[in-house]
Amino acid sequence: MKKQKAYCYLRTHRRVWGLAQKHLAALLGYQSRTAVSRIEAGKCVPSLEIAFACQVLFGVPPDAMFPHVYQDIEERAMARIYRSYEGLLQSSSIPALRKRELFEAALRRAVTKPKRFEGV
Amino acid sequence: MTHEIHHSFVLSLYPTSRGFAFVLFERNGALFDWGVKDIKEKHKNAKAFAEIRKLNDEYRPEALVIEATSDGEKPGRTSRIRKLYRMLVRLAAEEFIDIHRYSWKDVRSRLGFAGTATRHDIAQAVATQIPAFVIRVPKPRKAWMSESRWNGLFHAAALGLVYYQQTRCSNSGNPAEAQAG
Repeated sequence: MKKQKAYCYLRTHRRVWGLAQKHLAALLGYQSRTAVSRIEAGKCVPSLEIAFACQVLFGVPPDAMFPHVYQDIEERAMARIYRSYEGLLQSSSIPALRKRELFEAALRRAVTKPKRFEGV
Repeated sequence: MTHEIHHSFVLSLYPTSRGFAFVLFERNGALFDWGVKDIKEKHKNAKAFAEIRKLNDEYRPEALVIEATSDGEKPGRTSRIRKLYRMLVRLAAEEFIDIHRYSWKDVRSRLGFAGTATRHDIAQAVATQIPAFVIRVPKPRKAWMSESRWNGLFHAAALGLVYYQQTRCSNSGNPAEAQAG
């Protein structure tokens, strides 16, 4: 089975509104369309400023616009959280219990959060 | 970023005399990608098939939607395009992709046309359902004008819309509605 590549929805939303890459680049504050092209192709990760600018423009939150980036970050963050959570399992102090509560909530969210791959 | 994210796509195709048009829908019916590919070289079928295979490899669609043609006395499409459809059917079988074929009668009735409908009518009906295509609706064609290259896109989208209407009816559990066309 061939592996499916990760997609971002910037290209879809841009084309839905009839924007050229050059125009979108200008709206996002880039000098040329190259950066937009690279983000659309998944060759680079958009900065926080660009992700929020996309939300401002299209009304789509970053996790729905760039699900591949979000999932990548989520996986790595979850691994760190789980390691930390395991380290606290033996401890019964109040601060440790409070942190465990936070980590459990994060782990629950990761499992139950519906994946929002929003198309148009 | 090579990790796997599961997207489910439906690829709708409409070959034209100049190449082919495609519309890629997500499983929930949302639009993901679309385009018109012109093939200018000789051996159009081979080139078009290679391009379609490239799309298939990139997006791994779950279903392929194409036009149903008849091989009778009045087939409606050229023998080259009918051959391309046969190649697509074979590709779908090889790659275990569901193939759905709809005739223009199905398309017209699903888009709400009781009798005949021009290509422009179909384009406008599609554009009302897919606002992203509004900017691509061609002007009504005069006798001396050649056909717009974007018409194929609307035909591909119309086939995709029929597919979604059909599957929604099937999923609603009303077989009469599903078969009613």
